[in-house]
Amino acid sequence: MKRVLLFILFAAGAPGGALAQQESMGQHGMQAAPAAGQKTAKGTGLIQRIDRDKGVVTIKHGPLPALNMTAMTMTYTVRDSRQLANLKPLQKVEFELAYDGKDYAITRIK
Amino acid sequence: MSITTRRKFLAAFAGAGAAGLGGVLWRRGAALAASDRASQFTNRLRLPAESGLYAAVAAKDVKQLAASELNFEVLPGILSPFWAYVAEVGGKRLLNPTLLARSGDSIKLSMVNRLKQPTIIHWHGLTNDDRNDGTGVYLAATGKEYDYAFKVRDRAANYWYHPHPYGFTAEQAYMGLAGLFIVKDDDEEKLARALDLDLGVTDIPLVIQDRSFSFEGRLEYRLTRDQIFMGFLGEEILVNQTARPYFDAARRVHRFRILNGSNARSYQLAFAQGGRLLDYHLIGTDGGLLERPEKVREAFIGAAQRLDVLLDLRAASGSEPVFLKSLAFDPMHNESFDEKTGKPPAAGVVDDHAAHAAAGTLPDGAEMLLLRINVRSSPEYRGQIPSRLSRLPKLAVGTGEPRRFRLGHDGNGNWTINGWRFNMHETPVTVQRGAREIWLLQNNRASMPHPAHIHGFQFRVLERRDSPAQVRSLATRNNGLLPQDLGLLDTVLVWPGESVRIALDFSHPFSGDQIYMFHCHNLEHEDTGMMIGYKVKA
Repeated sequence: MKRVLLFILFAAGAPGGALAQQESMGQHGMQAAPAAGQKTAKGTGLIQRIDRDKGVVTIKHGPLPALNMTAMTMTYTVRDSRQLANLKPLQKVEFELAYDGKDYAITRIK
Repeated sequence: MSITTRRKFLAAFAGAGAAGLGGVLWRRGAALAASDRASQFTNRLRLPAESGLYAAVAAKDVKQLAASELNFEVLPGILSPFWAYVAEVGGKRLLNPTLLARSGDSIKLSMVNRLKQPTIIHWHGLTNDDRNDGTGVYLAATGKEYDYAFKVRDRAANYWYHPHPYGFTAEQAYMGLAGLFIVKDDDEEKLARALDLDLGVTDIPLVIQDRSFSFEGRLEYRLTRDQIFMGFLGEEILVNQTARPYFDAARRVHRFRILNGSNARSYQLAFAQGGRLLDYHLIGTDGGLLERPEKVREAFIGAAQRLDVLLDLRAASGSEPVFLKSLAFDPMHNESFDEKTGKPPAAGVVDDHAAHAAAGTLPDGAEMLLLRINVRSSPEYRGQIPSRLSRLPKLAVGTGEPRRFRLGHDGNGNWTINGWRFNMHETPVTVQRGAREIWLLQNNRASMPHPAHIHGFQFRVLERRDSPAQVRSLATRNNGLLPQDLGLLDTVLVWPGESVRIALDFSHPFSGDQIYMFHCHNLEHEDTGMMIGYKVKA
């Protein structure tokens, strides 16, 4: 049901789209999975929130064409959570995002 | 409004049918954000210093303010486009200086327009003739200067200055152009002595503004269709141009001079330690000190309004930080309600309340943290908040029928005052210089909150009627008045369905007819025509 509703939301172009995507991905994974196999993309973004306990970071980032992703705000797992140690909210970061056909994870961020 | 009209209206401004859902999701997101953000306030609050942003300087020493486009680190380490009033005083460069004056001071300065669009400075709250008041009637084109010369005639208070070129005000203010104009007098100084207050140390101006940033950390002003109609809502709340700020405070009384400098957003301000709300004292409003402090736990502040408060941090327990926050409230985006019944749209009809609430990562009315206050150990402090502060001018109330102003929209996306939209060449209202009048500001039920600002004169609130429950519950007087209604105001927040009676005394020393503005200080509303000129006939 939620996927259907989210589709409606995106199709409508409602301005709430970014956070809706954020919640959707954080809790249920991506809607449209690319082909199987590891894919990566380099991106630039602005950190919104850091949860060091969970090892996740929420980033407002630009488009990631290599992963067929538009600009959005999204929460991602950071594979090596030690990389979160020196990050601050509203810091501009460069990062690398990997997709293995199932999950997205940040492999590098600084 | 008929359903047909409402649908047309929504199609134009509220986006398509999923908007209600968007509101639900956004609210959930905001709740998550509030709980984990407390530890993420890591930027030291910017305070007025010797130079730079908000530096305090005697207004009479400033000879020029240059409205300029700069690059500035709004977020640490990231240069962003930023517009500011730049002054050079005593070899120092000041941005949006905090101008200090005493009643009776003569101000003579030139505004230079270095923007790529016309501009003008409005001295918000000060009593001036129309030429020195500064509105879109008087503009400085790019590269031109505009000279101001006026005497400070008003009570001690926290006034401010900002752009007022019709059609450009919202963007210019958003990009940074705004500063405080603080007038002092003997009552002010007596209070400062009693509480040992020091501007920038224990007497802290707080300018609250919501802003959005691109993914590269640059200030971004992009209006959605909703926001053209309802006003801009940013994704981050800045205080003194500081995102997620903290302030180290001694365990004593602090004064916070709070300006809501946001384009459109209202806040319900409270100080909280953990789950406990702390009492604080409201001591002043737009037009200066109240007669006596009013103890409150929460207070609404609409765009352009000022609240002057005292917080006694001796009431804070332990070392847990105290937060200035905005409590959750109903933002009352009731544009699509039935005007006669005051009821929401029927089932199956899009509720644009939710749509409007969905327009940013921080929905209007969401609970949000604004400023972390770290309570530090300090020498024992014995200051006591005085029981009397000042004497208000005698309330001069007219005896005639009130002049009525209806705030609403025309169903086609235009906000109006009595059905009027701004026309530079018309003044649909004329008052007689020296007259005492009562104005009745009536906001439609099918509306949203409007911070109504009147140029030229401070006024008093006489009565609030039909206030929504969240407002009525804060009233401390039989006539529905809130604590912040007890002082002099130049801006009053009028909620949907509410009627506010105000008393105006149109006495002033200026000869000749004067034309002033009366408008909604939601800057997107103002820029799109929710403003009228009114004439004070000599």
